[in-house]
Amino acid sequence: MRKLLLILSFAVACLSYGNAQTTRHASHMVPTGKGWGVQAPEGMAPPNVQPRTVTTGNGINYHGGPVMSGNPVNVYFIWYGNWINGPKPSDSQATVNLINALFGGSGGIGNSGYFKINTTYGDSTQNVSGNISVAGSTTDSYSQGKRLRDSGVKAVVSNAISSGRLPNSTNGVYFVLTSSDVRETSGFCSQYCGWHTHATILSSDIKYAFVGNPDRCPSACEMQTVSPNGDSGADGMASIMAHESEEAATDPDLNAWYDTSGQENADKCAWKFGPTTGSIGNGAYNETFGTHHWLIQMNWENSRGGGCDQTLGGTFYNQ
Amino acid sequence: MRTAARGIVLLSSLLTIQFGLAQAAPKETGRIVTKTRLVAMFSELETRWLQAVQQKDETTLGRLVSEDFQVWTPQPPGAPIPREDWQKQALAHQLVSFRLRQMAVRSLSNQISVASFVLSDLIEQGGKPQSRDHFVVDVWKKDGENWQCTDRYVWPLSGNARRVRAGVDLRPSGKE
Repeated sequence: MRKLLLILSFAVACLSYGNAQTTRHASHMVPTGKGWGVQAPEGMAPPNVQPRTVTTGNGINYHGGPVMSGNPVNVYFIWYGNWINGPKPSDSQATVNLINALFGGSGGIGNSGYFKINTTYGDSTQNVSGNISVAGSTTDSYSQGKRLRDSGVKAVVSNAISSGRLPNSTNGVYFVLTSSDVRETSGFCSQYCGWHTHATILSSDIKYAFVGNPDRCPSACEMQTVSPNGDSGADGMASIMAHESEEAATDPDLNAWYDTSGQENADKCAWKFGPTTGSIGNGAYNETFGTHHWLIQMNWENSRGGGCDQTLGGTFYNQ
Repeated sequence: MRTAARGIVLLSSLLTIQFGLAQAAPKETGRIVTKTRLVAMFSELETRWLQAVQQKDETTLGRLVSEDFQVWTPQPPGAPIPREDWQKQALAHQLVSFRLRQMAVRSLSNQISVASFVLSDLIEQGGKPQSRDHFVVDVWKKDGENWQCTDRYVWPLSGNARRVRAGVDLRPSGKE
């Protein structure tokens, strides 16, 4: 009997250890998604994994999870609500066209010096490619109503994939983009302008993000209302979508790259633009992709000690 | 034989419990947000305010709070604490460290914004350290190019709300 009990104790210990491996390691703060970090669960040893080509000591740390290394990383848009003639002028096809241009295969953000900042992040097998482009889009006419919960956003993504309107891709980031009459009830406009996460949908690890039309709350989610493309909604979305894209690429499962306070790469440069052409508030811009000018926040480069810059290898700026 | 049977039953029970625990364990959900421009701005102002208290810098404090600033608490008799009394009280102890979280900002007009957050701090009073948690609501008014706080509403936190501080975090599940 004693032997049997010993065997049972050993089996239970093994199972407990196995369960413990699914959680994050201790002595680090982890992102909560609310702008601060929390202590990771205790008792877990940090994984001894080094990214392939990236060294540490640049103000942001690797936590063992994968990055998105697709070349390109695919982006899918779900235009939720009314993007034809919604209540604000930016709830329109003009916005759809501008965002398509931003993530277009050529002349877009993909492979730009700006998005190549993400190539300084990697995992145990490869680095982020620095390329990203739109691979499909669909519409959703208020299937979850005008008051969306986080669970509703997930349902929108799930429905788009299960109905075959968008492919099931683990190398994709699915953006739910809501028109200005849609309210995301968990803090859109008062706490956040967008967010990204991941979930198991149809047995796949799907990465998805929410970005609302910032014309719903210009003072909270737009840097300027007179904007470089004459569409404050699209221009405001551009910076927030760039932010979510680079975080999704470098921390898709929320267990790869973030700093000791739980901030991911783009969080560390949120609302910081560096020098601009023109003055802020009057159509200023700091990036040009193809034929369009954009005002897009800087991103954290994981090299040379770390800092916010506008292009890979560029000057670091504090504001 | 009976011992072996008991062992099998025990093992099955333990395996079932373990399986149940594994199923109940939270998966990596949550979400990472892009904070609003106002959250970024008022986080910085609130931090500057607390740093001024830390450094007992009355000049900076004078710039951040309005002349008629007052603090409201649920304590009886319910009268507001005037700026002078609040400042005297705030500077009487040593603010060792602080942390702001759950910041949200509502813009009521171009001139008025309301910021709410949880403030956790560690003070030293009479040589004794004391940790505190408060839910704070600040009303900010724009005066020219600068923002000044006109009213602060403060509630001390206890019980479940304090568990967040202890690291037993109510981590967003992504299912809110």
